[in-house]
Amino acid sequence: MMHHIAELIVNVIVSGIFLYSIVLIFFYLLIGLNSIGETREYLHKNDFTDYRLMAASPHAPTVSILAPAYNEGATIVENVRSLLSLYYNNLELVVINDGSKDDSLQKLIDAYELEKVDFFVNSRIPTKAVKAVYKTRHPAYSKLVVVDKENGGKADALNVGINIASHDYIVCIDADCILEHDAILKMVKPFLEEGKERVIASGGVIRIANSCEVTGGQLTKVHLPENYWARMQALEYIRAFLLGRMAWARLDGLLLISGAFGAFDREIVIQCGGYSTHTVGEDMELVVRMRRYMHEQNLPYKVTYIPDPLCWTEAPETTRLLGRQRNRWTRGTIETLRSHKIIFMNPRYDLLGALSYPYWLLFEMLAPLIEFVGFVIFLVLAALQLINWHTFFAFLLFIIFFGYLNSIFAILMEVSTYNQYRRRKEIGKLIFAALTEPFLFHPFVVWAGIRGYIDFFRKRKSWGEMTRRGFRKAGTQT
Amino acid sequence: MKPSDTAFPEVLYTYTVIFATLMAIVLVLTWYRLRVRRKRYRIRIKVQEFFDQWLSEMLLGDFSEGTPFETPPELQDIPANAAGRQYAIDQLINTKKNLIGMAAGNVIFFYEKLGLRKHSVEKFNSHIWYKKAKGIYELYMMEQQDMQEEILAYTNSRNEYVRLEAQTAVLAFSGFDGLVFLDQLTQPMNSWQQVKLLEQLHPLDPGNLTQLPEWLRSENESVVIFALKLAEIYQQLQVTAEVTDCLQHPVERVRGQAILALKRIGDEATPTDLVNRYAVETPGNRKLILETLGSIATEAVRPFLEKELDSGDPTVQLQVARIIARSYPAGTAILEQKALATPSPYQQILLHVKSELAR
Repeated sequence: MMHHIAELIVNVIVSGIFLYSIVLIFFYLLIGLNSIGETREYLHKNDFTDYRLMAASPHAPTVSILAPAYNEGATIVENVRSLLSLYYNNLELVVINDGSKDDSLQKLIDAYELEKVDFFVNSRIPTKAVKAVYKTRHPAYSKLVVVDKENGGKADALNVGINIASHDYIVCIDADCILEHDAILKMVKPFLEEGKERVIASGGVIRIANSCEVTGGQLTKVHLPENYWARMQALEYIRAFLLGRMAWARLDGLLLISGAFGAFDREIVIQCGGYSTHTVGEDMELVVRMRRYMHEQNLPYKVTYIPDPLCWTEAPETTRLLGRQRNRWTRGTIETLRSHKIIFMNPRYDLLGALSYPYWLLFEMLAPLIEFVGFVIFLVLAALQLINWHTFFAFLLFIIFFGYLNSIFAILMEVSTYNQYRRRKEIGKLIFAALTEPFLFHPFVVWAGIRGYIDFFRKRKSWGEMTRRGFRKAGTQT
Repeated sequence: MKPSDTAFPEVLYTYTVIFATLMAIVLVLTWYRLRVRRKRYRIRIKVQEFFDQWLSEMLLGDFSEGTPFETPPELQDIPANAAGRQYAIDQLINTKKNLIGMAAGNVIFFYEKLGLRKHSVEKFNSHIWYKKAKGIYELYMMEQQDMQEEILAYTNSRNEYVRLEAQTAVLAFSGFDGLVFLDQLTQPMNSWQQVKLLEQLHPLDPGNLTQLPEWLRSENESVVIFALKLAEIYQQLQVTAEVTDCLQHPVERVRGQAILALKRIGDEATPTDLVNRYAVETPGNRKLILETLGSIATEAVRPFLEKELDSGDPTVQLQVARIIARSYPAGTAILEQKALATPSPYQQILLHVKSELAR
């Protein structure tokens, strides 16, 4: 009798995991096919687009770049210089010093000849206090506005930027990211192409800048990261951006635009209340809230994504920093999905409720938990000698090989489209990294996710420090 | 099938083999793509070295009618040179964008003599939208005027990219006369299309734009918006009445564009007309009305502005304060009185406006 019950339990668990895997594979196939369609269409549409038209046209939309900075004194002057050199006429650059404890502000004042100005801050979104606003009389830096405020976190800093920005569209970036010189032009085009549906947000692809060469704030040579953890993230980003985001954009189910680089319709952001300061996943939360708002107001809208690699960021290279980052991402996802649970399977939200939300819930938010619980159950069953090892190994190989197929397909997409890693050796390294993923990187990420769950239930709200090594200067070895 | 059935692992192994096979195929494809890219890159470099040198020498020559021209072997129309010939088309287009006069004429001469037009026409005749669009682009960039009639037929194409290129082409061929396609246009023109068309028209003389009143009454709202932009940019004062009528248009975006156009072509009644619309407009268009009044406010609208200064909406209050300070000699004094009577928020608004005026 006991034996039958135990066998029944094992069968239920194995069937559950199998069903979960099958649904996941179905989603990956859907994502793969849609990303091919969307990326091909984008490349054809923009094959001979002359973006220069927009750079100087008085009819191009006005854009405010919002760059929050906290203790970035080491790189802030160079980063701002790089942003000021972006190729776009109707541009304003708002740098928000979020109560830095270092000399970031003084360095900006000295470098750009800033002077304090009287500024009426219309706090349409409530924020921590603004201490001062600085502008310069130097004509070369006329686009620059620097805001000094009390420390309140990234979301609060961005909200101050939104309140102060004077232009119709905002581009939110991390101050330490490197943008391609035509990034704003490419990012803004989807807003100009809107038809009956209002484009409320547009995302761009983020790439890993570790081991790349940087000169004068511009990326001059792309290399595959030498560090294993960063290299794995390079592969992960290719998969997430070239496959995931492009596919979800085509399916009109995109829930996340990376906080490192995203463009938004300022008015809609304000109407939605700006970034939430109650979550560590403020980037995803804002997109979900904006989409929810548009649905609830019955306003036709679109969230777009472009596959061009426009923004380069430094990825964590140690398990300590990577673990913190993934811990935060997990908490951010839980907080966002939890506060918008009304969307789940709600016909009012169309595909968002029927497909996107369930996907994020099952395969992003719950994935580490399901995998971890599955692993614990496996250990228990193995100890009780209830494992059918033949089935187990067959299933393990089935899952691992599908994962490999997905990763290698992502690499093919990268080679076929933007081909940032041109040398065969680099592609070989990327493929080798993919082969090691199930045994090293993935278990680590799952563990970091579990720690994220623990911290979530302990109600920890910290962002976790992100120490950056800085980019490699052209001609130097790291 | 129950997972513990003996057949179950076999099914999984079968799928694993399928995945492994697909993986091998994808890997081969990846290597093949890399190889093709490298090959293309090498060809491109080779053609680039030759072509750029060849073109810079040739551009200096005088190629009037009857001048003998010999196609270099690297660009002869043979399959092996396909990539090189496409590179030549792209490079000629890029070069022509930066040239005028005889040098630009030479670029077109080379395009025709090298037989590159044939490739552009083939693309134009393709049923694939992106090839057709690119064909049209190449033809108008190379001023192939004789294709105008054929291209005109696509100015109302259902594909927005083909349509955009066709519309740009007719403007490239005929300037403002090419705008005749607006008479028949039933498909929408998005803002990107309009920017592109306006840039195409930018260096040209608009003449009288006699069709403008009709476009302003078009049933296609995007045609009305585009016509409003034309009226504004080229200061077509003869259509002020029609533009004013557009303030009553049912579509918000049309009304918004009309408000902006009136900034440059409005008459003495315009400020009052705008103020009369203000109460019934959307928040977005109200902002545009204030923006326009910033340039054309008269004494007649001063009571309205002073009333709006008390509106309670800080965005409106700041915008109105700017207008008052800039439009009326006593503007700053009005704001100072207000700030004295009610320091919050007017004191800060006053300082902000003064700071702007000082810069």
